[in-house]
Amino acid sequence: MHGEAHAWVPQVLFGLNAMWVSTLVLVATYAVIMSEKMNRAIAALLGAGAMILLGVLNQEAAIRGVDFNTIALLIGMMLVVAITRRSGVFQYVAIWAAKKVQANPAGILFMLQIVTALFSALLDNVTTVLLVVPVTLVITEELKLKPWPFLVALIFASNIGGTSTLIGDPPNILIGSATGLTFNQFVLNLAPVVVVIQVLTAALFHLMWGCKLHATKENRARVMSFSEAEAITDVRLLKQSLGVLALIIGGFIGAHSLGLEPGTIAMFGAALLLLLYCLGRNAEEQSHEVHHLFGEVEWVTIFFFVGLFIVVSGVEKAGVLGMLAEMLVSMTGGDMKVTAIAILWASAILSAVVDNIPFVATMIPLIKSMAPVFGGEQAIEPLWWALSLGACLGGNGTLVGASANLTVAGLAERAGHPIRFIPFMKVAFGLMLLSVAISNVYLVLRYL
Amino acid sequence: MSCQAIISNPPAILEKSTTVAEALAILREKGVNALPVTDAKGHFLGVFGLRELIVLLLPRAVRLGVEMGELGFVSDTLDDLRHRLGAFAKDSIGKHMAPHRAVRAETPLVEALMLLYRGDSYLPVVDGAGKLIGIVSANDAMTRVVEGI
Repeated sequence: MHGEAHAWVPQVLFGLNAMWVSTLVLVATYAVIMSEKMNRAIAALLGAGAMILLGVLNQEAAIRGVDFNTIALLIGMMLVVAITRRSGVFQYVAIWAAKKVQANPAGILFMLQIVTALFSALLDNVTTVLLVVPVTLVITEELKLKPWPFLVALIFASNIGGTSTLIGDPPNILIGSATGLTFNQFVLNLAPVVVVIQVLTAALFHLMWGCKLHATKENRARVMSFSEAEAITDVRLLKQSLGVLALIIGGFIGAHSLGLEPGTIAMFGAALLLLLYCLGRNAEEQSHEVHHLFGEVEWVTIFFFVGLFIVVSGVEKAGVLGMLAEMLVSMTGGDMKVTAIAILWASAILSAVVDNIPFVATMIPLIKSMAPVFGGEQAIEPLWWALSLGACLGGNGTLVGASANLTVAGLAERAGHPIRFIPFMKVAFGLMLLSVAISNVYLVLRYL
Repeated sequence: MSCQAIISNPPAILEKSTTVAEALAILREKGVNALPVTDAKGHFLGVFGLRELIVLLLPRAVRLGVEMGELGFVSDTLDDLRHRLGAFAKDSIGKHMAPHRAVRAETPLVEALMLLYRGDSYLPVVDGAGKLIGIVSANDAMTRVVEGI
C-alpha cells in the first residue's frame, strides 16, 4: 500500500529527533483527549496538524496514513442506520421481545440483552444503545421499576455483542481494515467466545437482579398493551432498509472472494438506500432529506479518527512503534503465548480507563511490526484476537471505558435516572475481568 | 425603537415554590398557556405552562428529545395520564419549569419581534439585576403596530 518510491523521511524542524518530537505530540494529544477538557476531534486534529507542521510527516504522508476504508465503513453504516431507524424497526423488535416474555421483568432483562447484543454485532455500539435505551426507559417506567439494572445490562450487551464481528465495535473495524482479516474470520474466531461470555453475563445479571425484580399484574398488563405494530411508521421504508441491510451483510460475508473492502460495501449500501429513500421526491425535498441524513453522521467521531490516524502514522514513520515492538518482544522473550496474554490483559485494563480507539490505533502498527519475529503475518493472527477481545471487553470495566457507556449514562441522566461512576464500576469491573479471563482460557485452548 | 413602549404586566407571576397543582389552577383561571417564574426576590428564572405540564403526562423518556423517536406504541388511557400527572402534583414548579430567553427594556423592538416570530408567544423583560419587570407579547406588539394604520 505504501510504495517505497513515495517513502517519506521525516525532516523535523531545527533538526530535532523525529522519535522524540512525534512521541511528544502523541503523548500530548492523548493526554488532552483523556482529560476530556477539549472535544476529542479538536484534540486529534490539532495533534495531526502538529505532526505535519513540525515536519514528522508531510501532507502526502499524512493523508496516506488515514485509513479511508475505516472512514467509509463508519460513514456508510451511520447513514444506513439513520435511514433505517426512521422505519421504527428497532422499537418494534424491543417491544416484541418484551411481550414475548409476558412482560416478566426478569425475562425482559434477558431479552433486551440478547436484542442489544445482536443489534450491536451488526451496528455500531453507540448507535445500538441510542436505539434500545429510550424504549427500555419507557418499558421500565410502565413496570414501575428502576431502570438501573436494565441500563447496566444493556451497556454490557452492547460491548460484548459488538466484539463478535468486524463491524460491531470500532476496535474491530480498525483491526479488520489494517490487517485484511475478513468479516467471516472475525465471526468464526470471536463469536464462539462472545456467545459464552454473553450467556454467562446474562445469567449473572439474572442472579444479581433479574430474579429479584417484581412488577404488579396491572403494570405488566400496561406493557402487554403496547402495540409493536404502531412502532412501524413506514412499511415501505422498513422493507427497503432491511433489504439493503441484508445486502450489506451478505456483501461483508462474500466480500473477500470478490476482492471488495468493507468500506466500499457499506458506502455503496448507503448510496443505494439513499436512492430508494429519495425515489418519488422532487429535487428540493431530496436535497432537504439528504442534508438532514448527512447531518446524522457523527462527524466528531469521523474527524477524531482522521486526526488519530495521522498522529499514529507520525510515530510509526518516525520509528517509535517499531522500537516499542522490539522492546515488547524482548520483554516477552518472543513467546507467542506470553505476548498474546500480555496484549489481552493490558488492552483490557487500559481500555477500561481510557478510550480504546486511540489505544488500538497505536497497537495495530506495533503488533504488525512484531510479525517477522513470530514468523510472518499469518502467525500473529492470535495477537489480533487478543487485542480485539481485550480492547472491546475492557470497555465494560468503567463508565468511561467505551463511548456506548457514556452514551447510556447521558441518556439516563436526561431521563432523570443518573448512572454514577463508582456504583457502576463496583458491578462492572469484576464482570469485565471475568469476561477477559474467559477470553484468556479461550485463546490458550484454541490458538496457543 | 425599543421594547420599552410595549412592555405590559404579565397576567400572573408564579413563584418557584408554587406547586404543580397550584400552577395548573392559576393557568386555567387566567386562561393562558404559560407564565413567568421568579424567585422570592422577583428574579426571573424561567417559564411554566402547558408544555411543562404535558411532559409530566408522558413517559420520562420523552425528555430525551429526538432520540425517543415515536411513541405510537404506548396505549395509555386517560386514567394512566391522570395517575402520572398526580405523582407530580405536590412538586414545586422550580423542578419542572423550562429555561426561557428574556429581553431587556432597551432591546430593539425588531429583535424582540424576530424572537416572537421564532416561536415564543411572549418574552419576559428583565432589568440589569435580572428582576422581572414585565413582558412583551405578540399581541401587544401587533396592537401597537395596528394603532398607527
